[in-house]
Amino acid sequence: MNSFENASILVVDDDHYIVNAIAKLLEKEGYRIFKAYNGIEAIESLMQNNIQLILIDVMMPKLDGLSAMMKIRTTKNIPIIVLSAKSEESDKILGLSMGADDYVTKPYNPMELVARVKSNLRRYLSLGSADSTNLGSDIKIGGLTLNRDAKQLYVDGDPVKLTATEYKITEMLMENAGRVFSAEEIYSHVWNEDSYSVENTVMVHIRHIREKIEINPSDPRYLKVVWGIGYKIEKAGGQL
Amino acid sequence: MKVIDILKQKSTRIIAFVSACIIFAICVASGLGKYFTVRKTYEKYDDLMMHGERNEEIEELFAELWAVGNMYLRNLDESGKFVGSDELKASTEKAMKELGLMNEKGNITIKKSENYDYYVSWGNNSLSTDNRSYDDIYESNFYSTTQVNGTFSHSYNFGYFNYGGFRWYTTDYGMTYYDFPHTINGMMAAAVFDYDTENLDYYLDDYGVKIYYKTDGSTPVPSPETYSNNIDISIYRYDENYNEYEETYDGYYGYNNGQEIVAEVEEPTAQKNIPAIPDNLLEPNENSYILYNRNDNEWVEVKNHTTQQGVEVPLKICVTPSEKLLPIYKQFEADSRQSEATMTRFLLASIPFLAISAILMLFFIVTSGYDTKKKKFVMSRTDNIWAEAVITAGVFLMLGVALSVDALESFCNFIAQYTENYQLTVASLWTTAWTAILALTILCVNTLVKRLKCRSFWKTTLVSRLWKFVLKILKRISNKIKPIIKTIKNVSFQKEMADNKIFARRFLIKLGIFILTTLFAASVGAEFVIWIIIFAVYIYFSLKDLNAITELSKHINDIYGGDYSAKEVHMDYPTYTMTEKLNNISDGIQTAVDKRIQSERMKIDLVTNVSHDLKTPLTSIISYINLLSMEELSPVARDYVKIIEQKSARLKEIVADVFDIAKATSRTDINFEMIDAVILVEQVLGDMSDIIDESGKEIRKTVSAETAPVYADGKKLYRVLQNIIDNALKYSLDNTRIYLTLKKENGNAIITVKNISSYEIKFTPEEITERFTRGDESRTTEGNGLGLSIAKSFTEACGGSFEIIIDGDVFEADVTLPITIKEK
Repeated sequence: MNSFENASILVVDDDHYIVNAIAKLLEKEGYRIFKAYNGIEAIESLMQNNIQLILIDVMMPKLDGLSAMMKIRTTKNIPIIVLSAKSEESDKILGLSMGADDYVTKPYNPMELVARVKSNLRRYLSLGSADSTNLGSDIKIGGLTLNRDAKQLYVDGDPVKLTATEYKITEMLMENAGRVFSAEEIYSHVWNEDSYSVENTVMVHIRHIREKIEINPSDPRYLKVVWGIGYKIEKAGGQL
Repeated sequence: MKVIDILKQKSTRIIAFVSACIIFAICVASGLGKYFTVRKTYEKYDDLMMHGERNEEIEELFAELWAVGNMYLRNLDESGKFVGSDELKASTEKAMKELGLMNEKGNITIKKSENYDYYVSWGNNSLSTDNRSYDDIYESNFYSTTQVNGTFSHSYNFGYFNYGGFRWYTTDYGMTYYDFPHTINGMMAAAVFDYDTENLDYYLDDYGVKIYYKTDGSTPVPSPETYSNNIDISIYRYDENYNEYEETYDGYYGYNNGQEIVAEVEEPTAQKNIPAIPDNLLEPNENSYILYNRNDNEWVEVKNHTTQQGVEVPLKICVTPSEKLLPIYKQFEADSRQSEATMTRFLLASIPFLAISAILMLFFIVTSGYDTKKKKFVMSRTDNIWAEAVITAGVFLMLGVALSVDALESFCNFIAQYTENYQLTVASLWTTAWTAILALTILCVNTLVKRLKCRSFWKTTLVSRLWKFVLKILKRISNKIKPIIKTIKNVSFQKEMADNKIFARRFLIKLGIFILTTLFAASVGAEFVIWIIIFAVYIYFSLKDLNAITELSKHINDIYGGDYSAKEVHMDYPTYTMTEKLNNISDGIQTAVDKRIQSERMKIDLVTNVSHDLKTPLTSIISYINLLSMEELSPVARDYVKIIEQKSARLKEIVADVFDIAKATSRTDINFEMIDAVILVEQVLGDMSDIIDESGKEIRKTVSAETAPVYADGKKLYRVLQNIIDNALKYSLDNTRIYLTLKKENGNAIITVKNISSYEIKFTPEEITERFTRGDESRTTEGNGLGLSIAKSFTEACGGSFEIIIDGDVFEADVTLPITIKEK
């Protein structure tokens, strides 16, 4: 089918069993896998082979994942998914800010991992990696593309079916990416009427949208609930 | 601006000062000129002045009139007949003749004065110039001088009489003594006796008056030198060999308006050999007494006589200028009034100039010391002279103005002998002196004010310097004494006194000292000042104690507030040992806290490491189970794989939860922000709506607040609510409702989730929030028992409190969060 179906992926982890398990998992999906067991090997492999995506562990001997990633980022803009046992918020922010496109915590859900790999590859190969650009009537945030003329939302290039209400909410949040909206604001904008105690309604819609656009709805990449305040879509895709 | 700059200049104020002095000097000089003119006017009337010729005349005349009135007129009856005994009459006439006030014929002869007319009366008996009446003389003109009953009732303002010297008294022994204010015919006093003084002993007093005395020597004699109440009384006597000798007694004597005398004399020590009193005289008649006649060496009987004391019959004396002298008096008065007017005019005219001078002086004082470069007031070298010296000098200078009048006058008189132009010399001298005094006084005030401006007045005082010096010495002494006292203390208080008794002891000592010193001060009649000093010392030590207690209480408060730093107090403080003990306590607490923090950190590190170590193999397990499930497997094997898959997923959850609890307990991963608990509740319910619907259970929600702002971590609170709602859904009885309420109470937002348990609750609230405790002991259902532990840990990490209440089958979870008022 598409060219990314047989893309090359570099899996880097000091644990051979994990590398093998991931390799097996992804090979089943038709990807070509390169293996490396520390940061230096990863960089070497990257130089020798045509790699489209990297899955890299953080804590590794010789050269750790983050340092390797920084080196790689000086020359390559291919998607990098960090795979780490560190699950704290601060670790995730650190990883993403140092150039990672995605952050998956160990132990990972194999299906989620595959979905994230696919999502990142699709975005990189078919849509380019430019983030957060508004072209004409299109709004593009990470893997999300909103075509306002067709009133259609694409996630990593795939069209997603949204109800009219869901579309309106998504449009509003995407147009004002990064801004936090309260349930009242969303309600009055979408339903065009003031209402009392609408949290529940809005929240249910948000959850539905999340189920449609997120790989893991309980760990959303785009549509975030700011607990106790409101809702927002992150400005740059792939952020927490 | 420019004017102000000029005013700030040093030269400006010097000019102001100098011109003020010059204006003052001019005023003084011209004032003196006027004064000399006036004085010249007065010089014409020198003979009328205090020590003038006319004044002498008045005094002499007055003395004569007084003597006549007292000695003669007093003893006349209404018809002008002498009423005393023959002896008194003879004695009086004799004295009057000696004084020249009576001629051989027995007529009164007052010196005829052509300058003054007189009037004298005792009762109805009067004598006057040309028989003029009292009213005539008294009212005829303004210049008469009158004495009535010993008191001047009317006197012109020049010329005066030494009326303090008018005195007379009568003794029990028949002597009436007169002390004149002025010599009359060369005599200053006279005495008359109402008994026969022929052949009696007598002596002469200091005025040359013959004083006859009784043989027992009991006639008292006043000492003329002093008229104080305590005097020595001298009596001149003769011994057996007829040698005069003098005896002195202590005694006192007094008079009242010149009319009464009380004299007391102790018995003399020496007695003469006197014959015994004959029997017939031992009891004399009521109206007589006995006297010893030493010439005949025998006792005689003397008739008693009571002297008239003129209290109720006033003596009136009036002296007035005669027709001849009256115009001079009138002229004198007119001239002096004119001089006064001239002087007043001049003074009024000079007021504006003096005012200008004063303003300039004030300007000088106000601006003095301003440094235009430094833009502030500075002190010069002279401003460091002792302030007390300056104040004293200033006071003396001002007193000097008053004192200088006399001193300068005599100096001027001295100068007058050597200079022709007397007035010029005097005027220039006075002007110079007064201007100099004024200038110096102003400079004194100026330096004092400058010190005040620079706020260093106290520093320049001798007292402060002495105080510093004394302090220095005291310090030196105390440094030397301290070790000695310490040794004594160590000996006498070998056992450290219990802290709680230190202040009691100090209080008693202080009180004792205070009472003793007060009593001492009272008993010796010490000055109030001494008492004040004692009181001040007492207050000082009391304040010192108070200070020590305050320090100690501050120290305790610091420890209470979490400040464990060691405090230092002086060894002398009564709280020294207490502070040291407190320091030890804080040190102990600090160490304990440090240790606890360290161990907590180690525990968290351990959990973090362990969870990481668990995650790595778990990753492999989950990965390979997944791969395994994709393989061709027998149905039984597939079932097994499924079970492993489920359990590994739960293990994953548990590891994550344990890690979360550890993090929450350490409070390292909390992101505080202002959130609304009302919105949060709605969001959580919306988020969980699917699970709620699936469970088939109903949640009844009551939110009794529009907003409930709290400062907390939204994500963490979401987990809290998720966990307790999850818990309620899982363990509530079918067909019962779950009640979720949010209310504001006492500044807190309280979220309550209440449900009826589907099984009998056999655990306590404490047990359920402990880690890994679950409601159903069999642990068969899903969940790992960490849900409520996480809820508790997360709530507490957000600054709230988490409580489980169990009432029968009713299970209630309360999340209490403090409401925070928004700052923006």
